[in-house]
Amino acid sequence: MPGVARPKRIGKGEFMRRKISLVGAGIGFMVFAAPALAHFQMLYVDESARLRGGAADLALVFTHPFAAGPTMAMGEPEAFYLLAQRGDDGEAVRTDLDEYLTPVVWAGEGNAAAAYLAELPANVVRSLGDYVFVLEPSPYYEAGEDKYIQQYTKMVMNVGGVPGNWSETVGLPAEIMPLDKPYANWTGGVFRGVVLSEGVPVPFAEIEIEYVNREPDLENHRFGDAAAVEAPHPSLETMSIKADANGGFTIGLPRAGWWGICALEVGPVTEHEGKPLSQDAVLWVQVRDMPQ
Amino acid sequence: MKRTMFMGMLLTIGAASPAMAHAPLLDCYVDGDEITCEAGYSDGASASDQVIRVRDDAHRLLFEDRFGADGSYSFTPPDVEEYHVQFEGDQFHSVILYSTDIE
Repeated sequence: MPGVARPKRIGKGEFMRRKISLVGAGIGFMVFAAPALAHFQMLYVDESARLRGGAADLALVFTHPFAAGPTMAMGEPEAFYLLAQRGDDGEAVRTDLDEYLTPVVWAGEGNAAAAYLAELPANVVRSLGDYVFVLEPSPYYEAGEDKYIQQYTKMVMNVGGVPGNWSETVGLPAEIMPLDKPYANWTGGVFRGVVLSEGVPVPFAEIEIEYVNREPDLENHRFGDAAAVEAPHPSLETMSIKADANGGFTIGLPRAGWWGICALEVGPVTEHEGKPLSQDAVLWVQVRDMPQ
Repeated sequence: MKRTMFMGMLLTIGAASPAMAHAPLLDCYVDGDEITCEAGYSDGASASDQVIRVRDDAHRLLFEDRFGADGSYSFTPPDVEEYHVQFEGDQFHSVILYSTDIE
């Protein structure tokens, strides 16, 4: 009868071949459905907006923040310093921080790996003003991608509410210039920035955003056990956006805590020791709930 | 009577001033044998050459001076049990920090 599709009868051998194919496809689906988690160089402090200065402890961990692991072994940083400035008229003053670094083994989901703690004495972050922390890590070899990754990372702290150099560029090969104060954000607001390569905006830069989902425990060098959020879909674990034609971007801030913003492959150097090198720019933003 | 009240209201409104764009900020800390105070504004404006006053707990003026070009000022702690530091900024901006909060 024309126009009516009838099921085609197949033999046992053909049935088994199709069954194996379906199983293989299922396995393939599970592999490719694994969460696409991004590498992030963390430069963490518990509180970036401080009423008064004083001693501060920071954690430098190269990891996957949303899943709290796996963590990648950091090599010795090429540079770790801060640029501090009080008020618009002041000049930023650099303080090298290498002497305050202590190597640790940081534990997270799935493994533990080399990281650093920085224990800053009170005189380093005592005065009013902005403190732009800068970490220039050594390139990390990611065997899974057969390439090196080097993430130039900034985190901004403020003491006492007097602003200074939070929006100033540092002059990194890959850098995110904030257009909002990274330490002064309410939940529900937005954060804006510009992606720069050697100081020049990068149109349509690829950017990843990830939330620190488990509380860092600096005393025990590990992530806490409790995840704050369970993402219903992999695309919500590492969120991907693109900068606009002027290298600018805007992200929403839906939850209190720390958010990492990473602009991928925007640095000028693309090769290291004969392998591809991805020079990325990372900026950390802290968000707070408005008190009820 | 009505004219006096009206003038009084004008003076009060003037003294209250419109919504200010910036807030004065002050912090002091023990710095060796001295106390160092730093002042500024929430919009990054400088406190350079603005007035700092130190008074005892009876509100008697112990001394008055001006912040330096970088908005800081250092002094030897006065020989009184308690005192407070006042940053007298522009356009009626003023903020006080008590010695019990200086560490």
